[in-house]
Amino acid sequence: IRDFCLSRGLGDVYKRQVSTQSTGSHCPRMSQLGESNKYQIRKAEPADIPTIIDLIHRLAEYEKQPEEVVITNQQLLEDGFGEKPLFHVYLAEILSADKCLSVGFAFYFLTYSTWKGRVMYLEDLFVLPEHRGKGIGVGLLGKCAEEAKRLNCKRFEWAVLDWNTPAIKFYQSIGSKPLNEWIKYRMDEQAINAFLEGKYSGKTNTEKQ
Amino acid sequence: IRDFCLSRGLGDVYKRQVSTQSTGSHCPRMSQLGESNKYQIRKAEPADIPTIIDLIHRLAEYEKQPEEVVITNQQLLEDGFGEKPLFHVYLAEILSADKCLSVGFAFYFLTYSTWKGRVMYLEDLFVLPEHRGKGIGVGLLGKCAEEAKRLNCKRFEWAVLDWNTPAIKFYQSIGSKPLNEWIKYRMDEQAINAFLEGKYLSLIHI
Repeated sequence: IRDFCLSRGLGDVYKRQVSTQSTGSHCPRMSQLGESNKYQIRKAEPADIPTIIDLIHRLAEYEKQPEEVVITNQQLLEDGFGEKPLFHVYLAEILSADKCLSVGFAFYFLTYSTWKGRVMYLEDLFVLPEHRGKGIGVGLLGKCAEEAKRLNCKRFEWAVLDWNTPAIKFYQSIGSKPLNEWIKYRMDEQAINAFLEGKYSGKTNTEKQ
Repeated sequence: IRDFCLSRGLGDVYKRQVSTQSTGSHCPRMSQLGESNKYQIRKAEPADIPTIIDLIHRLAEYEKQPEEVVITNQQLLEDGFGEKPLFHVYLAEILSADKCLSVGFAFYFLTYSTWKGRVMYLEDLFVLPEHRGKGIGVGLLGKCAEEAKRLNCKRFEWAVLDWNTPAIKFYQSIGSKPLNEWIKYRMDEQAINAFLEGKYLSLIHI
């Protein structure tokens, strides 16, 4: 992370992140607050990548598939913090023993509807179990929704597992609607390769460009 | 479209598109072919926007919601052909009476999996009914899959309506799998506003 930041002129960002996280001074407003229900939300930066990966793992455990997480620091760095970020992350932090503790995150990106235009898609939303019920999830969603408005998004979307009852109740409570007619289909890497090696080359009459 | 192209230094692109579409010379290889099953696939350019919108409407009719399409030329221009495109389009064309006829399209963009990395998402895939069964759909999917590999995507995904049996059969025939556990949720513009004006403000403790 350090080399990546320095090579891209992000040296100041990296130093600030590293120096402040240990002292807790990265949470300027937080230090004035003593109440346990206060939290802040900020955009993640490269030095937050280990924290983001940790939260991704926690969510995967909740979704009962922890072994499926193979994402690396390098991927998140290149794809999220380069010239053309493929995603953005909001972190929710509380003050705990004079340090900033990340207790939740929202991972989103822009997609597109051919009927309406820009869409914000929320890929991951997660709050540590011990910090639920304080409004942090709603706060993260709200930050995303504000950004969606700022970017002129016509829709704000996400997906939920059909057995995740607490999440379903939560999403219904905030005015979102399930799109029950749609079934998502997926090719993993193996299936993409099989498709390219097999059916695609066998059935088309296309002229090569 | 002309002003947009010229202001962004795309004048050559625009002129080429306009001058060749009427003569059919935009399909150089196509002009040598006479067979009705031949087609080509190319990346869409700004001058293709009216064609793309037409195909979007045709797909919306097929999906039984034609009145829902409110996208404008301007939106597609700014969001798809500016500095940071939010989507890409492949057009499938055949040669018909010495002209290029667009008979299908694939509309896709990159998304992300926090477990795997880059993902290609196919938002729309459509071939005109009269040109189905010739391999054009597979061809468009293949072009997207090649691009997915080139961009190091770990997944290639899309969604299908649960009553769209021909499409479901097609997708199952090419090795993709349904993700039956996932239910998509949506807030439209109205719901986003209601959320921001209501619950969000009352429930947070910032």
